[in-house]
Amino acid sequence: MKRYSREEMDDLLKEKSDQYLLYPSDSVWKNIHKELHPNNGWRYASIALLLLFSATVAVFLKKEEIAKSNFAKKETAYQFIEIPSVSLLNPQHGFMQTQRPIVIRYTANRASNKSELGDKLATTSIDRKSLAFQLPQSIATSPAADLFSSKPINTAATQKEEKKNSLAQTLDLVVEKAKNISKNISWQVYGGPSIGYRRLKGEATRSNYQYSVYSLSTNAVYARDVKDAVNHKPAMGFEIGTSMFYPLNKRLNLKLGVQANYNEYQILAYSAIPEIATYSVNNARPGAAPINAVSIYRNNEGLSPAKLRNEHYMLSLPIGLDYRVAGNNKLNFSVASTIQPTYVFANYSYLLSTNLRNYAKEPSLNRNWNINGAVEASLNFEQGGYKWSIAPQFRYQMLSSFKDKYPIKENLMDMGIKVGIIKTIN
Amino acid sequence: MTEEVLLQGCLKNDAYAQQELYYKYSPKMLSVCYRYSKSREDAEDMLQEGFIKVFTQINKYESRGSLEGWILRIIVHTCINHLKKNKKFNEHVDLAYAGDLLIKEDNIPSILQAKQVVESIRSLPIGYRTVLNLYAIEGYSHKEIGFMLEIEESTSRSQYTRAKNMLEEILIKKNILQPKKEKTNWLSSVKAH
Repeated sequence: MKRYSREEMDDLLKEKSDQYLLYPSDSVWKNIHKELHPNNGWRYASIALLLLFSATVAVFLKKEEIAKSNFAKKETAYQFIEIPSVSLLNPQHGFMQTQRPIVIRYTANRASNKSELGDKLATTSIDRKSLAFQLPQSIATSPAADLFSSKPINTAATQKEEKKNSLAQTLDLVVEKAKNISKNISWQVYGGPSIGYRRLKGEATRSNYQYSVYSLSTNAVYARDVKDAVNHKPAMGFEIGTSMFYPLNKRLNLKLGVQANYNEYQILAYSAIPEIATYSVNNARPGAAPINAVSIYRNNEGLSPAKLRNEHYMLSLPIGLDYRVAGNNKLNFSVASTIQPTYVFANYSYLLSTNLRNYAKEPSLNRNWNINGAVEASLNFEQGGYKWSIAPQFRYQMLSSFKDKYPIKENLMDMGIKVGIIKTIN
Repeated sequence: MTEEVLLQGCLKNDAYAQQELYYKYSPKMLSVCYRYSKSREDAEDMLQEGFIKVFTQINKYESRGSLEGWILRIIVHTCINHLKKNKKFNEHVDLAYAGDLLIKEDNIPSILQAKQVVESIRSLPIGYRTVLNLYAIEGYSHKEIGFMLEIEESTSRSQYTRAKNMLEEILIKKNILQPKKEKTNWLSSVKAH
């Protein structure tokens, strides 16, 4: 190594400082990108979900309100019918009723909450004297006044009875409503084949902890962009599930369900002698060791071609809306969109090393929980006493299959046709 | 992609052009930040903040000087602002202290010398190394440094002299710089004969 003279010190400092290069970790660019181009996708998705939820709640509340107002109408009608029997105040009708008119009178006033007399009756016991004091003389001295010769009316007991009646009526109403709802609900069981593939995004890592400060990343030999570096092919998958449709109006249905998916795509690689596949990770502290795995497959040249399968088994809970675009009950065309919280219960994936050279399994980088979105257009028709549905659909996984610290992003997608049979509950 | 195309892309807030520009200059700029910072994490924070400024203020770039020089100025100012939040630049350190400074050894032969020089600079007290970086490497004048660091011009000069002496000692110890030659006078040479 050259030794510099003291006179050369200024040159030494400049020269060596210029030579010294450091490669920032991937998280720096990510943060810069996030700052410059904030991702609004999630914001929009959250707003859409919120609107969907609000609309659903609003529809249910409106129905509840209508039911309550019907209940109030019934109550008023009941008073109206019974009021003639409150002939306590009208001697022409005789005094066939005993305490009941007062109870009814109380109920009527509680509903309207206006009558002072009603309030009094509700809170106090009435005896003959007090009522006689309030009533016109003709009534108070009439035989009907014998009505009050018995024990004073216990309004607390009548309140209890009223509460019981009102509760029973509410329960009846709820049961009736539940029956009505269940009458409108239809169930669908469906299944069908799909073609699975993926969308990849990422580049050969430039993190310096994988290389010495002067070494360059591998893009001198291999493609830098992961899309250009790999050879993948779509493969067959399938989907089965069941959905419940609840009509929000004549055309719009709320859709809830459970669904299982199998997604697969193929990797064309090469078998090779065992070597280390390096997975440098985002947000690692400087100097931290990357994750290593033993690989017997290479992305490019190797001993012999090998076909690898990336398989995912998923369970989802689709929730969304189905809109009937055209047609009638016997034949119609509808479109639907769902959001699907998803649990990946088995993930047999080969991960590409972050220098894009090797494939190996590294389960610690797999993400278990994810969110999918799906759109479909379905043709529904009645045939052989059943209602059938044929629907081409597209499903897209919104989060990467791998954890955020793995710099390469993979979003799975499926295109398929599902066939369903629909049953309306009677 | 040429620099002109990159620049046009960045002016349109194109993410791809921004990324290309970032990859082109980030290694050099990170090493600049590293010289000013006390840790790698701090250096990356400075780099991030600096590049956000670069991309948000790129419309202010006038093509008079090089783009790299313009980016470098923004990065250096970002580093200085970052340091200003925490440190004072007027602090003095005795020369005797230089002998105790620890320099981390690195065994990778190919990068040893450059890394040792940079680490030697980083081992200086913050006030010294900031002035040394700005004057000897970035090429700012003492007047400019005084303005940037909010210190007297004379302070900048004295800081630089001390920093250079301290660094000399360190680099001699690291066998990068030749040691001082002992002074010989005419009498000693006569005696030798």
